[in-house]
Amino acid sequence: MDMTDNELLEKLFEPARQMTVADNGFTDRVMEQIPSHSTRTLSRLWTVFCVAVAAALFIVFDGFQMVVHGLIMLIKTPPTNHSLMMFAVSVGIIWLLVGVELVSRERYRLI
Amino acid sequence: MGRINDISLATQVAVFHNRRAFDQLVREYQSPVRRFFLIQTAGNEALSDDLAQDTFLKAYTHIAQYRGTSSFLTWLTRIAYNVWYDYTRKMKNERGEPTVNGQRGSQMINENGGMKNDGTADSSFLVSNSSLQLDLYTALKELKEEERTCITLQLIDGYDIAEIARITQMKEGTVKSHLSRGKEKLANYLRQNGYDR
Repeated sequence: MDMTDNELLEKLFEPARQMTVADNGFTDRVMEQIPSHSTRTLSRLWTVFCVAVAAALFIVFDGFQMVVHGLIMLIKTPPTNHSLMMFAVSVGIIWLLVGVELVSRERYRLI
Repeated sequence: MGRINDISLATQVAVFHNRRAFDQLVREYQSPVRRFFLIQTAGNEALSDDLAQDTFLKAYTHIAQYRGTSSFLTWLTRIAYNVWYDYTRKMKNERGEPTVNGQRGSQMINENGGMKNDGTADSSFLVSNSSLQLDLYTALKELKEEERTCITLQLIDGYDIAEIARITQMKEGTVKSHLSRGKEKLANYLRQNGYDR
């Protein structure tokens, strides 16, 4: 008697369903690659240090005044094709970075 | 391992960075994850292990995002699918192959060395193996990448259509058509090769 499609596929996939992959040191290799707690702490400390240095430089060089001055100039200067294009490119880059971050989070968050 | 136990272990990893808890999770789920990659790569053991390792490292760094609404294995499989998707896309870009190409998957498997030179699959580390394994790898090469993934997720890993849709982020209708087309191709291939006798 001819086999149905389902019976055929059942026959084909049954061994794979029963297949077990022996560990053979795989778990140990994965655990060796996992960042240790101290590495993560160091990484966070480095981030805090960089942020602190950036904040200090911002204050020392009167960054706030520079930002305000830049904004005033932006408002006062009549828009040109070049400035509009640069503005559009900047907004586009910001949205692209936000999009990449959101997609990255979505890949692990949904389930 | 039960869902509650998995959630408990995942919480210990996320909150206390408990390496022993993660060790238990890897030990428990390494087999289905490596089997998933082994099937996708047509038995390329080294590549499968690299991709599986990448999957577990990503799981470790994103474990706080596991909400426990699905089983830990389903969550891992979603990461594994993403790892596999990224890998195939990278390979495609490197080779300048077109995005939609029915033969793309098969070519990639051959070029990646999924089969040894003598045509046998490199699956010596399987605890339970049989000659049918060769037929499976050969038959799966008849399918497109997406069809192969949907078929193996359903017929080997036992996921239903809704779960496959969540893992692959495809619409349920798309999953159904990949399954239907894939099964038809496989059945025809098997009949042509006398597998129904």
